[in-house]
Amino acid sequence: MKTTKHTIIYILLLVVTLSGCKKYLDDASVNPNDPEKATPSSLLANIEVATFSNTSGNLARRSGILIQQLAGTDGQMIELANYQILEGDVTNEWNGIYNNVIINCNIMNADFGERNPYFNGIAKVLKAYNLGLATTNWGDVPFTEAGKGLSDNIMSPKYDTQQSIYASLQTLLSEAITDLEKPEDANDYFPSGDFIHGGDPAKWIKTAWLLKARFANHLSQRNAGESASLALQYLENAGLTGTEDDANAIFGENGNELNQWYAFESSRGGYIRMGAYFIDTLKASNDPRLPFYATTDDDGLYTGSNVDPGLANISASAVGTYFGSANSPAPMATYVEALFIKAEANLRAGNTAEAASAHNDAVKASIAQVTGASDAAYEAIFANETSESVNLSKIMYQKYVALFTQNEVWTDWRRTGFPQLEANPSGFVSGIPTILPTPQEERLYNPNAVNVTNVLNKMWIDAD
Amino acid sequence: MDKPVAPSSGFSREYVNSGEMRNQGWEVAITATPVERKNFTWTVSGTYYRNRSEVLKLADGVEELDIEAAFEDIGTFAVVGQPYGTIFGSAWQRNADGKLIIDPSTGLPYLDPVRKALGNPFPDFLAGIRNSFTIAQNFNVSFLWDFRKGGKIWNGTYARLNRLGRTEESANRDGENAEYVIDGVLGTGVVNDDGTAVAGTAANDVKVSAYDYFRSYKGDAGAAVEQHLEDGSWARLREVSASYRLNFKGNAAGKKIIQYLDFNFTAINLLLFTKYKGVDPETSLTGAGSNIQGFDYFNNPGVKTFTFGIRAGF
Repeated sequence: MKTTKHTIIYILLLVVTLSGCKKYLDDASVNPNDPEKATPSSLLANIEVATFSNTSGNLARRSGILIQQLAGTDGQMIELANYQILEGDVTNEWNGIYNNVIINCNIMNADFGERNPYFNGIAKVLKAYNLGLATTNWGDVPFTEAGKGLSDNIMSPKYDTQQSIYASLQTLLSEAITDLEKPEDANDYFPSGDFIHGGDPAKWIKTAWLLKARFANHLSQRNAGESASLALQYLENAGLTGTEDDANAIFGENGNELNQWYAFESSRGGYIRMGAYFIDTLKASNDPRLPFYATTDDDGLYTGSNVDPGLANISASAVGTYFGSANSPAPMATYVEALFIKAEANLRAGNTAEAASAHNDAVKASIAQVTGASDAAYEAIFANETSESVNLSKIMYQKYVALFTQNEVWTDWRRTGFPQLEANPSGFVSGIPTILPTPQEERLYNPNAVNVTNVLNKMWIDAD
Repeated sequence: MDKPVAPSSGFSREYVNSGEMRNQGWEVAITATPVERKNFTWTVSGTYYRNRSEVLKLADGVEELDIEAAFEDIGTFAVVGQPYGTIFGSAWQRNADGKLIIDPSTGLPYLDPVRKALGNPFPDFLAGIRNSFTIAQNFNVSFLWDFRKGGKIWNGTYARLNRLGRTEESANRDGENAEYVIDGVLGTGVVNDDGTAVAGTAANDVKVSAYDYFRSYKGDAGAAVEQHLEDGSWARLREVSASYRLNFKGNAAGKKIIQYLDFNFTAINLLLFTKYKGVDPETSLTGAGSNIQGFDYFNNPGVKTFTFGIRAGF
């Protein structure tokens, strides 16, 4: 009896060992420390961090200087302020979009898309946001064949026309919304690694509609009526309720997490100062956002540096604490922007009363967000438009102030001509640049590249 | 080869087996002893070195390859038909006769929107000659001269100092010559879609201020890198050395404590003759192990070294 019992135990042990062995051999060639596929959360974290850098890095510095919110006062920022933008100067920003975001969004879609619609939807929204940056800066760019070197071996992506890109952006965002509206149990994994909306699909849906409204509104010069009605419809669908719906680039206090304005000023102090036009108009209107937007100069005053870097004032005001602290978030797509789109689209559609009230709401929301309070004196003058008094110039100037540091303002200025800016008279070209040159690497290595060298060319959305 | 690809593919480089380069050169060393007497020997030895490299092929669709990251305005490239490591950077726009095309609104030359190969940083030849004299068998003195002909150097130091107004050339900028007219032909003011300016026929007569002239033409605030390529030829007295041996006689018993004393003196880098405006054309920004040649951006000059030694033989 005793012997039998022992024998059974031994046999059981042997079986357990043998089956364990078989399983072990199956997995022997898989190294858990060297995965061949990234996890969806690490992919998303990569996409977002790269997006933060694209949002508030050189693209933002360049647009801020071109539209005179900022002034280039030293180093390579002087060349930029003189409108000398060459093909070698734009490589990093281009690579930031295509190498760091687009290909990872494509991998997310291919590897995890089917069974993780939330991850996939977020990646699609971010892909649309980044390709939106690409087309509003460079015009015709790769879209349909972009970032497919790995999956389809496309090493020379074709350039899509900006017209077709705007159609594709709408389709991509609609797909994203469909993904994000799927039930939770359609997902193998619930999104993690999301710094922007903490994996909340409802907030991502709002951001996707807002981007659809932004891109529809960009076509104001091409189809005034349809661009307005679509933008308004998309904003309605977005249903943004306040600044808690903002999509922001998030930064931290440590070495490689720093806010880009802060990091740039720390390593290249004096290269960028506040622009004279921006500071002067804020001062003239007693704008309560001024002390948040700008630091004081050595004399305790707010001064901007001249648009001509030949007259640069390196000790003028710098970017202030609201956008320029070590961990200040950088706005990507916000509630305030949505209100301004609403105002502009309503104005274009002839709904002047709605335009005026959206404008007034936008100005108040921006002041409350930046200063933490309302400012009755300022708002009595500048957030008090009526259906008779509101006009495009007022809306676009207020949007220009509210969207300080955002690349979007350059696109707005090109589309609408507001605010009316005087170009740097000493510039290398005879006007404010309206497009970026094709990066050198694309000209050299992509036979399909549509080469732009003249920075005064007009892109499709800007043509009258 | 680490072949660059269009970044819009999602990648910036791929590894491929490709590339062809030709190096042709020769090296000669000759030693002669023109005088050989009991108490006087004169030896001359000379070396001569030249090399011509040419990039024959890079990869399909690649005619220009950035071989090492440098600055935005200037880099070191392999370009088909050019020597490996050619200087590549921003250039001025010129008319068919090679004259600068001047922007009539600023008085400054137009920048070429496309960067190009600017010059070969490698010399046409290097040569050295050493004369050694041995006198009375125990005194030896030798001189080594080195020569370099050609090879372009980008003088980024001079460009920056011009911009800051710290060069001799820019010293009188506030004086009577405070306005400058750059030699070239006036542009018509028309710029084509590809960024090239249409040249006119009249000579430029638009004045620029000293400030713009020394920053944006002679300096490095928006000036083409081409402006600061200089010829890197030089002749230098590389080394002078002398040695003397003092032999001791023994004492009466033929014993000696010290057999001999050697005195030697060596000086390195004593004299330099060059038209190069920087401190020393024989200089490297990035040091050994780098492909970058011919960049001078606040590089340290070669040091002058004096060595004196005594050696005793027991």
